[in-house]
Amino acid sequence: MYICIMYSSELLKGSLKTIVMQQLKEHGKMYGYEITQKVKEISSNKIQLTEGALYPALHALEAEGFLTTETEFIGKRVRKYYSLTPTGQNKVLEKINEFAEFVSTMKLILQIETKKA
Amino acid sequence: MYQLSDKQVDYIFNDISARGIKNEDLQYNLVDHVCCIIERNFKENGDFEEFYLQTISSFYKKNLFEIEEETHLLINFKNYYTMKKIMNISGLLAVLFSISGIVLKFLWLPGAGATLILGFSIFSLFFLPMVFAIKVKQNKSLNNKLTYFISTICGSLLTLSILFKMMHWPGANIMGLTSIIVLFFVFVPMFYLNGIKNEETKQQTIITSVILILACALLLALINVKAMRGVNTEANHTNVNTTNLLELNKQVAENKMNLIANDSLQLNSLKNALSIYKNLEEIKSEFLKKHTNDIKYNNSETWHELKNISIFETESENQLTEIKLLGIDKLYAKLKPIDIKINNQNFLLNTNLSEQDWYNYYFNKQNLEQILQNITYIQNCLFKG
Repeated sequence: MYICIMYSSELLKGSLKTIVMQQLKEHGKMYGYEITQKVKEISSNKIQLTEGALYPALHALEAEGFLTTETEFIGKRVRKYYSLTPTGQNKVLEKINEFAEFVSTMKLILQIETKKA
Repeated sequence: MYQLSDKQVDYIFNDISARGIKNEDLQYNLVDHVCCIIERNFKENGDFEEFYLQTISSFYKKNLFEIEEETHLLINFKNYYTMKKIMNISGLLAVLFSISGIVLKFLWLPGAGATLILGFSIFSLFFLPMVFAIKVKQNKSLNNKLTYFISTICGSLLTLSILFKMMHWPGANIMGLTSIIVLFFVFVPMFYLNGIKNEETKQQTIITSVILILACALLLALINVKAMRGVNTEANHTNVNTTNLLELNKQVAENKMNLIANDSLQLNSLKNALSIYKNLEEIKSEFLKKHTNDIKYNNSETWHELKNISIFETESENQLTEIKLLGIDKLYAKLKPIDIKINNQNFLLNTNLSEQDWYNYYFNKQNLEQILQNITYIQNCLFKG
């Protein structure tokens, strides 16, 4: 479901979970809004995770056992913090390696280096 | 940074809940997310409600419930996207093939049968099962799951029965009747009882149930019960079936001999009748030779196999070619002058029909057994003076 503003959502659809898990690996526990802001900042506004994409992905990762949650009351509202489980820690490495390999293969296929030169 | 009051948080929470978000965790996430945006971007002197509505509307395409739906699907249905894709593609292919098939059929062009088989098969074997699988995953209620299951089975069976009927394949009637009966006695009551409980769907349920009952009744009206009992309705004007066909053959031969002996018809009429009789005998032999490689049609075992042999494809061009090859196309012209004469204005051979209708009546889209029965019936009439 619609992820960003600059790249086509098709391009990023498969990498959403990896992006989210990497943020949690880097920053420990985070809540939804915080994740969107962090990704926006790192990507210089090129990738903006929408609520419609982020929360389903977070809930799915939680159901798969890669994330755990803790709640905190902010006045009358509840804030849910997400963090990686030990399984999630391993999974994120696996996902990043897989993605890196994919990128290098795509570079070869699309001859990205050659074109730049 | 703006500070939200408890009243405003309650307002946001209630609104998100009213928009269809029932999952508590997701409610917390979305409320907190909206609150974060408002706290950082809302200006003290602005219109809170307007700002909130603007913010929340940026969360979805059509309605907020999409997010819960997506969450539910991601959690419960890993292959959802693949299935959705198969459903869309198969739906599109089914529509394209079915429409093309119907157009080809109406224009009497070759390929109609194959295209329709593809269209109907894709619809009943891929599209409907995919719709069922997706609907079942989206719905938690066991009653609804059962309703989807029954409707899918009935839909597939009904489509296949129509396809079988069109292609003159065996089993069409039993499939059609089973699906309509299950639809009528199981699906409609279940659908009605499920829908009537909910005030929102009550009116629509009543309307849909009435339409479904009428549709079932109309389809049932099309089914000929006699055909289910094994009586050949396509050719029931001949009032014979496979078993008594051999008897009829004998009877024809006896009638012929009696007439010759008694000379009860005028000589010319008798000559004509004999010539047509001989001609029809040859046609029967040709049919058998061509389609069964067995010209011994007095063998009762051969007769029983004939029911499964389709002579003419649905393409009318093939029918006409075969009719011309076998000389049946000249039959109407030969029979018309003697039909009234031999049958005292009763048109026993139905030559009061137009030529095209007459050929359709006796030969169109019938299996080998029916065609042979009809020809034998005509032979029999020739000597009923």
